[in-house]
Amino acid sequence: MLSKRSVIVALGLAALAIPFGGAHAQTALDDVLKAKTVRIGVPTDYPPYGFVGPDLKPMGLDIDVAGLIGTRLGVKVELVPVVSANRIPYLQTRKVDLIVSTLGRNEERAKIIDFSHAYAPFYQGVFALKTTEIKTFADLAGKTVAVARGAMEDEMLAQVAPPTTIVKRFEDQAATTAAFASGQTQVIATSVSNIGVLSQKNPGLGVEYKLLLRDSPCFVGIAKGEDALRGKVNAIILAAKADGTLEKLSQKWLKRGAGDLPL
Amino acid sequence: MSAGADPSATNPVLVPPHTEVGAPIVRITALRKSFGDNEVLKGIDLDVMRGEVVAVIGKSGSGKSTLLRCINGLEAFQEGSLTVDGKPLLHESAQAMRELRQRVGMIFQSFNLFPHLSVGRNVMLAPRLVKKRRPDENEARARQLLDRVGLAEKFDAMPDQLSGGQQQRVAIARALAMDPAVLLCDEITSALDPELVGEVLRVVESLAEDGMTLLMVTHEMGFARKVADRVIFMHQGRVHESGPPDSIFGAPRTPELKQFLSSLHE
Amino acid sequence: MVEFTLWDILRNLLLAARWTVVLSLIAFAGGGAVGLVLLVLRLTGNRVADAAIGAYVQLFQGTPLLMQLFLLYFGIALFGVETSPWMAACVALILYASAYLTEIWRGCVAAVPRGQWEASASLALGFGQQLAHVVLPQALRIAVPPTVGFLVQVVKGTALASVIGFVELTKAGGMIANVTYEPLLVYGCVALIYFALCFPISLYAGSLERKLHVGRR
Repeated sequence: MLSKRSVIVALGLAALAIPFGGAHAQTALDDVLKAKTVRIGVPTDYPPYGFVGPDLKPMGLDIDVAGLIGTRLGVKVELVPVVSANRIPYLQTRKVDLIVSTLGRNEERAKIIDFSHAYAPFYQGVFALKTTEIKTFADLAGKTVAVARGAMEDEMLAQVAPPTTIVKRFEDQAATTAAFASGQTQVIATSVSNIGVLSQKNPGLGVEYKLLLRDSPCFVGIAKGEDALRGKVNAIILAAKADGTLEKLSQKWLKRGAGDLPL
Repeated sequence: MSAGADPSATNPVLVPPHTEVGAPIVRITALRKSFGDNEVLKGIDLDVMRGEVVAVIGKSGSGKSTLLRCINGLEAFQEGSLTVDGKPLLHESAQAMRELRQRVGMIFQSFNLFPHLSVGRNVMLAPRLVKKRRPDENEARARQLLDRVGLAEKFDAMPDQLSGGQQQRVAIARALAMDPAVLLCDEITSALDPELVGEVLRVVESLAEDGMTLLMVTHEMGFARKVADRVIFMHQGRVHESGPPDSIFGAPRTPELKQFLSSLHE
Repeated sequence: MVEFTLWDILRNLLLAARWTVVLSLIAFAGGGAVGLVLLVLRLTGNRVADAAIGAYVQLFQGTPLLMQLFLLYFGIALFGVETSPWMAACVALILYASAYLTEIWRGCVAAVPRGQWEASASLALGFGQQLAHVVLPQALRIAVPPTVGFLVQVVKGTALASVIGFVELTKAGGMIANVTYEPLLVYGCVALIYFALCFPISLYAGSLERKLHVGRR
């Protein structure tokens, strides 16, 4: 059975083979201004960055940032729900203009899309119960680790975990968390925000941070070669940084400061 | 249904064919048929006269059923020619085949009634679709034919409510509804319980008496002896012996026929 | 974080279930129509048609529906063809359903005894008449169980349309589960709603079978 991830990689490689990024030659910003609408892919199943309220309307930090970009560009915002599996294809096929979706920057992705400056903090780590002894990655040997398929933690874990680690992949963050909370696995590799909610719902569980996988702030994703649009977005982010908007958003949704956001 | 000197005119149920009485209604010339590399019919020459009852006998594998199925086009043949009631058999033309099949009716060993239709509808289907018969005329004719085969009261019954012998008689009525010139009977009693064979054979006999041209592949030697005008013995794809029943059954000439006849008595 | 009451959860799931129903109906009606056309084409005996349709069936049966949806939306966009999510989902599901249905129905027609073809041919019925009046009515009876079984598959298959942006029942369940952190409750409701959609279909099939069997032993 093809995993979502292998489909993405296949399509990504196919996209590399077709020189489409250059061929589109910088029309995205013009298209957005002409249509007076910017289409932005956002998560809807990943609190507190993107989730839904009782009326199923998207809300969260990423949605607020998307709204900010739209306002500063002077256009309407059309929010398109995306998931890890399809967000990059959405961008590559120009079905969205930007993705604001807890997107981490790495070399593999940088080959097929462009990134803006960072707009919010984020880190992924390895967590376990207080009673579980984990001081280094070598301690993961032989332990069961829950992780969400295709997420950043999944890729990072593959690089640093010893071969005898038993990795159990689940389809989304909720399932991964449920597995760890119910004791199906001893360890969980996930984002800090996830653990925050987990601890809130299961105060007696006693979850503790053990190891850092990656300090991976969030960047806005832009289609390759669209420098005009990227320039605009970067300007908006820098301005928001300077006037404290990004700090406010971080406090509101993540209950912590934005910290030092890289460019 | 015209009045005239021929016997079928006295019985209003059968429609006279185009061929004259005494003229050949089926002409088969040098017919060859193979299944892949296996040649099953090795050159058949046969004329069947109008009103004649021909019984075809022989061992299984001798080509009897294949010959019959060639006559109404269920099997295609490679060489030779075949004409029925003045119509030549042309495989390539679906139209020609349909016209031919309106003149030749076939009764099958396994009846092949349409299980989802009542007895009456089974008989009325083809005349309605092919001959475009009017509904009232169609129903009247169907009832008449079912009465002819002794099943008038079963008009609204479903096929699976009938015995084998009754189903076969319905099949005969269904074939007759198309006013065929020739009836092909392919071992029509072989699948019946012995006590049901008689009722079917009686119907066939009465058709023969009314002047229907019949070509029957059969194992019922007693019936063939009684009703057939001519018996054809087939052996390994050829007409091996042919003649009136008395000479075929009473005075077989070739060793193959002798052996066949003696094997029946074991 | 946001609070969902049980009613909030159910209400949103039921609203999303609308799309599940609409997509399923489109897939089944469209797939059925296309499948029937392909079936009749195949039955004519034309070798080219037979090979082409055979390849079509192999293609759609041999690849995952998820991939078909993906390629029809994102894949063809790489070549410059713009589709809306609706268009892509409907086309993908119709093609998928047609491939399975035509194959199921081909098997049902093959199950009708050859003697039925021979008897109707001997009565001078044309090919179309044989199909319409003799063969298809019998094949229909045989076709009810496997066709309904497949319809239930289609209903569940619509869940995959979420990959191209549809918020149908499963996706809505995922979104709500991820924000309430109550996956068991939410997915339990999702399962109940799917069951409520599929069970009547099975019941209807049962009554249809009984009705068609009137007259059969």
